[in-house]
Amino acid sequence: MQDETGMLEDDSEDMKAIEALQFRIEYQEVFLSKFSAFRSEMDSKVEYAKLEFDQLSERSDKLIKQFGCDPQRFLPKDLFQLLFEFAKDFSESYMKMLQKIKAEEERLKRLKKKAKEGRPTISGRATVCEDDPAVIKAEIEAFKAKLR
Amino acid sequence: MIIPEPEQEKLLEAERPKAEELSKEEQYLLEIIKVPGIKGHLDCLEIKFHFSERFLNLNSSLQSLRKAVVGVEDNPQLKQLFIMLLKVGNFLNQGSNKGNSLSFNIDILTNLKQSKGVGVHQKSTMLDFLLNSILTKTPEVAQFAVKLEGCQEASKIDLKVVGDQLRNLNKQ
Repeated sequence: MQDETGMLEDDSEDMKAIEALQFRIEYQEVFLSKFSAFRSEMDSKVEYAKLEFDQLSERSDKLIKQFGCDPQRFLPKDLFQLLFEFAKDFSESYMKMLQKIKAEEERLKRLKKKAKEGRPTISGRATVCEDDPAVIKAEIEAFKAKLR
Repeated sequence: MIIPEPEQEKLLEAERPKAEELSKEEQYLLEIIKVPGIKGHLDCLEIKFHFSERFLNLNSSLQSLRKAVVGVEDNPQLKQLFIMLLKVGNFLNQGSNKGNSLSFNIDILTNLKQSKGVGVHQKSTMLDFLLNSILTKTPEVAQFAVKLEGCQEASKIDLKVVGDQLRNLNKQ
C-alpha cells in the first residue's frame, strides 16, 4: 500500500506526463495548421507536374515512332538535337542563298541604272553599260578588228 | 542544422540539472530537444525552403519539352518539307535503285549538305536542290525552322532525369 504522500507524488507525475502530451499535441496542431496550406500547394503542383510529364513522355514517344525510330533506343533529346541541327543547317544555307539572290538583284539593278545613264563605252559607239558581258564581248571583238 | 542523436539526447538530458555548467552550444542543444518532434519539423521546413526552387527547375524543363513537342507536332511546313525532301531524293536518285523510295531515314537530315545526286546531278547536294525548290515554289515552307526553335533547349533535357526529379518531389 502506498501512503498519502506517495499517492500525491504519483498523481503529480501523471499530471506532468499529461501536460507534456497536451503540449505536444497542441504544438503538432499549430505546426500542421501552419503547414497545411503549403502541403496542399505542394500536392497540387506535384500532381500538375506528374500529369505534364506523363503527357509529354507519351507525346514524344509517339513522335519518335512517327519518325520511324524505336523510343527505347532513340530518346526525345536525340530527336530534338537532330531536328535542331537540321533546322540550323537549313536556315544558314537558306539565308546564304537569299543573300546571293539579293546581291544578284542589286547587281542587275546597278547595271540597269548605268545603262539608263547611257555612259559611253571605250569605243565611244555603244551607249549601254560597260559591265554588260555582251557589250564587253562586242568591244573586245571591235578592238581585235581594229588591231587587224 | 545540428540535431542531437537519440543517444546524445539521453546524455544531454542527464546533464540538465547542472545545465548552467554546460557550454553555450550544449545549452542550445538542450533547449532544442525540448521541442516535440523537432527533427521532423526541421525536415518539413527544409522541404518548404527548397520546394519552390526545385519545382521551378522541374517546370522549366517540362515547359521546354512542351515547346519542342508542340513545335514538331504543330508544324505543317515540316511535313511539307519532308514530302519535298522525298521527292528531291527520288529525283536525284533517278536511275538508281533508290530512285523510287516511299520513305527516308531520319539520319539523312543532318547529311543533306554532304548527300549528292547521281549522274548529271552529282555536283549538287540535296540541300541545294531542296532550297532551290523551296525558294522557287513554296517559300512559306522555310517557316518550319522557326517553329523548331524550342528543340535546342529540349535537346539538353534528359526525360529520365526529369522523371527522377519528379519522383523525388513526390516522395517528399
